[in-house]
Amino acid sequence: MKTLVMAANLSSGQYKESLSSVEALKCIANSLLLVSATKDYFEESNALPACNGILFRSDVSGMSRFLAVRILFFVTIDRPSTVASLVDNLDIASGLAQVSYSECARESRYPIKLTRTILIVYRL
Amino acid sequence: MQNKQSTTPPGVSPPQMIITEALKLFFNLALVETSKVDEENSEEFLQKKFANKFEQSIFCILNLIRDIPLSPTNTLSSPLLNAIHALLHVPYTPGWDKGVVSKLTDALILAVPDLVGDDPEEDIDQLRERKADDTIAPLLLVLRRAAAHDQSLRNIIAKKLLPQERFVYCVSLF
Repeated sequence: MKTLVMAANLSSGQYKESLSSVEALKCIANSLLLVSATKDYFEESNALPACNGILFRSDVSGMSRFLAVRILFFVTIDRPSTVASLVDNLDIASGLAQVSYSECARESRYPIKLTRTILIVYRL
Repeated sequence: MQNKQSTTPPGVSPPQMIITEALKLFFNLALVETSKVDEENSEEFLQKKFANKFEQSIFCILNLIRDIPLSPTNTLSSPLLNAIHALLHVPYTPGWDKGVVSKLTDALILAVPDLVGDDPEEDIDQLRERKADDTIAPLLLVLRRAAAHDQSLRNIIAKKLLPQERFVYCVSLF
């Protein structure tokens, strides 16, 4: 897990997006889903603040944001102390609001893109 | 363990997937934060405290419910179902307006025939298979909370769910 956290650029405090960091985030999410004990290693690697920090970033891709939210979802299952840390110390309320706002705004544009794509396919 | 699917979808995540994950995370946080009930902190107090902290997220959830288009089949699916779950641990506020309650009532009207059906021969196992309890019960709880706090919302729900007067009159003739 330590290696994955380093590869995901989560150990330095601020996440830096790259092709390899996104792949590492995918591996971390899969590990947390499949082996519950990896949650301890994830927290011991001090990756929680950087992962939570992704929610506040508008300069990262949708995939990074999706994976960050998914990782936070997995680490909060059956872990009241992690939830308390996120709510009281890391201000996840603001991060979650930021994600919700930006994604709801994107969502409202999404069906239009889809309709246009269907129209193009029909014309072809 | 081998049967578990990969957690990540191929390609770029559409906004709907991120919203669904955010709603699941919100549910987890709300569940834990509002369950720390003791002598000094009642559940109602904890729910209000949580709602104050997550006011902006709740505003987005209510907007999402108001704006989401309903599908006649598989009505109670993501992200609407996750949004309903998220509201389970949130107290009623004036933000639960006519648009939100009306949409949730419409969702119930569409979901019941799909999940429960009207076959008198249907047994409880079939209902379990369709996960009717898991999906309809949270929606009913949210609607009940809205109805309990606001007379005008209660009227909207009643108008949509209860038989019309003319229909009752026709039935009574038989």
